[in-house]
Amino acid sequence: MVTILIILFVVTLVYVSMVDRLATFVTLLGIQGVLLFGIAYMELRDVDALNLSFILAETLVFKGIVIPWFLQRTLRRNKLVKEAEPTVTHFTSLLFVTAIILVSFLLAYTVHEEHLRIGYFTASLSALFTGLFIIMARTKIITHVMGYLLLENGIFLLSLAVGNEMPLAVNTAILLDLLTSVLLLAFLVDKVGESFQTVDASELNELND
Amino acid sequence: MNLSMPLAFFAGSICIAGVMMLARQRVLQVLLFVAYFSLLGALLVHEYSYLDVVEAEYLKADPLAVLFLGVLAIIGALAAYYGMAYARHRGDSARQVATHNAALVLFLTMVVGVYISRHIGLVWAFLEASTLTSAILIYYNRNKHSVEATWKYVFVCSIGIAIAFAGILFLSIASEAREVHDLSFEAIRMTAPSMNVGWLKFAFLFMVAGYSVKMGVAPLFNVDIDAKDGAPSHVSALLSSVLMIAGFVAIFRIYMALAGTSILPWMNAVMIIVGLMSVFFAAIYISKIKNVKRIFAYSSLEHAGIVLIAVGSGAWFAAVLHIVLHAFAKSSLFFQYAHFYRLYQTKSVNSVGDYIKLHPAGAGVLILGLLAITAVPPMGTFITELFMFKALFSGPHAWVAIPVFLLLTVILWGLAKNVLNILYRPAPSIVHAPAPFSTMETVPQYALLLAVVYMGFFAPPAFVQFVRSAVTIHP
Repeated sequence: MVTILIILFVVTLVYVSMVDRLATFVTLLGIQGVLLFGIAYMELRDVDALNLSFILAETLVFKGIVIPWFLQRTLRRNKLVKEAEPTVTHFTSLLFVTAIILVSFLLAYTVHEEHLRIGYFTASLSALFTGLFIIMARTKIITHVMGYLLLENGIFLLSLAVGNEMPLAVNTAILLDLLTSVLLLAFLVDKVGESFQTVDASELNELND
Repeated sequence: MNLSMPLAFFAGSICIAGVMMLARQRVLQVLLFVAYFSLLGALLVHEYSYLDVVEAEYLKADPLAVLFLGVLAIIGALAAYYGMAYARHRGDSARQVATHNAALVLFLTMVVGVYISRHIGLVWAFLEASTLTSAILIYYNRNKHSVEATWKYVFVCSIGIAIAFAGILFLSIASEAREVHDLSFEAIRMTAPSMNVGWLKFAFLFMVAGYSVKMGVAPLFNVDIDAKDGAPSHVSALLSSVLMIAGFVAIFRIYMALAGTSILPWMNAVMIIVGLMSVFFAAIYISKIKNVKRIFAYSSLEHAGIVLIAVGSGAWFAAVLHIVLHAFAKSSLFFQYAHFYRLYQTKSVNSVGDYIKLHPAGAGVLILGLLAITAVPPMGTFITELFMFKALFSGPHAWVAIPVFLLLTVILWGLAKNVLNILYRPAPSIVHAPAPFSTMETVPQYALLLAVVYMGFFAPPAFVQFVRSAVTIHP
């Protein structure tokens, strides 16, 4: 069952590389949140209730609902519909992401640490690199935020794969930070839109040498 | 004294910041600042008397933390003072000032958290929190420049810190394999020698790359320069001092935790490469740009690079002392920059001049500050750089000394040319009505620069001993 969820997670990554409409991208992020919820739930049923409810809140509530809702709102407020002129075509993106998944799998296979499962490791590395790829290949800063969220999801999966639980105090601090940073980034997208009348990263060049 | 003093400090700071948002009268803001810095002073005294005692499970102040806490208290208080002066001079709204002051208090508190945490995850969390609070400080002017700087800074910091987190996870892969579930620095130090070397290298590399954005060194230094350019000058001073130190602490603690393993020579090579790259980029830019604030910012890049080279060559004492001296010198210069901008209303070296006639007291700060950041005697930075070169020559990377020396010469030339132009060249444009500068405002800047001389050349043995104990690996 967990394997199915992980495969679905990887499929969303492939899908992400091809989407044109930003709203679909956000929906995919929400779906990833729900999938992560499923994976975490199956994986961590035997940890103590407090930690479990904490992780569930992080995935289902924040990654699945709050953040997608907030991003949709930002899209509406800035009248953003599509990634206007992708510098990289969808086909090339698809090739890149497929290559990333392949390389991640090979990497995970070569590392072969006994307590580190290959499926998890592949999916997390793929999400991490896909996030970085999206940030580099796309021009709108809102898409950059979404790439950052993909990267975060990859890191979340990696932390599940590792299985080393941070103390609750540390976990709480990390969750708070992540949530605030996403909200802050979305807020800044609004502000950039107001000041620059565009949300293209290439237009942000007031500060230079 | 109660052992949960740090927790009281965190709770008290958050309360003070909250009250600051509500009580916006100037007098109250000043009183709240006084309350905050008294609290910080109490924490400092407490930690000094309870050195190396674990508190609240995850906090512990070693000599390194106490030393940096002292620096933070001094520069933080001055930044608060100059921040108030800045706002009063510009006539900013009470609400804007209150938000800024509250963010300043929270920012300093989060950085204190970075210094005194003994858990690798907690250092990460405090560092990210410092990014979020510093965003409010950088955003202060609410114009195009500050929006752009804030966006870039927060975004790249978030990416960097996410990469660093991946590094922490790699480290926990290595420690899980050894059945160790504790990620405090002491536990890592104890078990690291038996961990898988490959994972340790991955972990270290990811953490250095990620935290580089906080310390302001290569590879992710670009947004730091933009942030220091876009922020008000007293905030730039904080970014160049207490925040740079916070990034350094994050890198140095993991370096020290892994220093007992076989990857030490490899880590040293990484430190030297990163440091050399930083000095290299600083030299390239300083010799060609004309924006005074960015010139100072690139000089911070240079010094952060020097600190890492010192770490990599084994001169840990020099590294720690150098970052402290640089913090004093650079914040003094950034504080002075506020006067510079008030006088000329431009950042460009090309359209200014005659500073020595228009503002002699400020010109003195510029001259002494120039000596300090170019490491000319009698400035203490001369001593620390000398130690660094000495360690480099006696280590396996002696050849590095040659490019570093050449690059430092280029930087010296670039800095001196620009500063001398500001001081002596006849001012080409009509200077805006020179506001009567209060000489009082330059006194703290001179004091900081005198401290750079004092700590380098006349440091009392007890102080030297304390810094030495800060870089000794404790069992």
